[in-house]
Amino acid sequence: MGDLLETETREQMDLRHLIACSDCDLLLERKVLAEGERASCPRCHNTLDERKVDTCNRTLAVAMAGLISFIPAITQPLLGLKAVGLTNQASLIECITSIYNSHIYLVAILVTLFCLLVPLIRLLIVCYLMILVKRGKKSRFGLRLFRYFHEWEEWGMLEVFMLGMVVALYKILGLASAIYGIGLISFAFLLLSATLVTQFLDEQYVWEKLSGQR
Amino acid sequence: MASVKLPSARSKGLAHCHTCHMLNQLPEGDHHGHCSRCSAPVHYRSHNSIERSWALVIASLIVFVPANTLPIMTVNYFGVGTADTILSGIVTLINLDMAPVALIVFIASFLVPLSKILGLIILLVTVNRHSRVQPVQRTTLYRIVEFLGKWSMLDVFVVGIMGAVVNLGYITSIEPGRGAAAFAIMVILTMFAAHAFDPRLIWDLKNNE
Repeated sequence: MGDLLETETREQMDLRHLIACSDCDLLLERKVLAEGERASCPRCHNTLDERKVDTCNRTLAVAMAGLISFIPAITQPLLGLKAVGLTNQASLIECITSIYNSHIYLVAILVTLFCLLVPLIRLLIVCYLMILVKRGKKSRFGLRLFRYFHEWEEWGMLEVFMLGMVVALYKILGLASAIYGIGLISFAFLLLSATLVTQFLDEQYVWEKLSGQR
Repeated sequence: MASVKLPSARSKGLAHCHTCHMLNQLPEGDHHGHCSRCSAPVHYRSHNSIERSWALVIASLIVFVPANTLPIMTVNYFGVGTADTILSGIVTLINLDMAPVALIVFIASFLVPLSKILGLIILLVTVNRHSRVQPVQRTTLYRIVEFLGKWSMLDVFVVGIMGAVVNLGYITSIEPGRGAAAFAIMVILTMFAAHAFDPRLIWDLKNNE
């Protein structure tokens, strides 16, 4: 019994000394990286691993900043229009209800998902996980949340929505004078925070911490 | 260097987890299982990758037609409505002397989705034909296709924003059209198609050499 356990852990240990490239499946020896170092695949130049500096504190800070700017970013007016004495402004929530009222339900649902729910849930998950990691807790539930965080990454489309606002702004300027709302600035801050989260987050470190491998 | 046989994880009976990058030993005879660390599904190679990717590419090509022929939005001006498709919207922008914006919209909503589909077709055909040509460039192509994914949603969001902002009752208003929904479906299909494609297939012949 003791023998069996020992061989299994040795096998598991061996696996952790290896790494495969996610794009070309090349099997390589895992090098221990110092903070700030990066390893890339010698064959297809994919990034294999990266040790980021002070990842927990930085990620937690920007994720919380993102959550704070979230509320004004979705409730305050983003853009407005002024013409012949009339004005009209719209926030993200009003954009969604307006699409809904035009009976293009699918688009309303997708905007809600991609520009509101997915970014919000991902920020909440990352805040919670950073607190878990800082406390040095192992967590199965945390591992599952982090899996969702990773899998939903490409469905968060804040940056695309931001560019959409820039294009819309130009179009409005062609029609009448535009109003820049407080929501636009908040949204820019939200986008900045969400981008910095991906920049500061050391995924490998979080996986190892949550599973107790480190 | 070329004569040295480079081991792939698969040749050693190891499957790489795409979510947490952990290597997993799959039980003998099995081609898929669950990651021992994050419990995401792992496979040596994605299941039916080529077939699923082809199906989604063809589906997105089909939806490309209504996405470009149905009106993406209707502009009402003193009670008179003009419907715009994506391409006619671009022409309108050029006529309004807004060439830079027209260029952004043209790239994001026409060129990008089309080249994404084309790029996927190139990848699928070369893998189907067991091509050994330029694996590094083809992997880069895959990464570009994957990166571009969500940017094609631009026009859908623009229409949504314009519909809410430009709303002065009878004088002028903009309403999103059904083309926006078709367009969104097309973009999502291409994103799933890129997702279904397993880039490791590009390297498998090289790995077996």
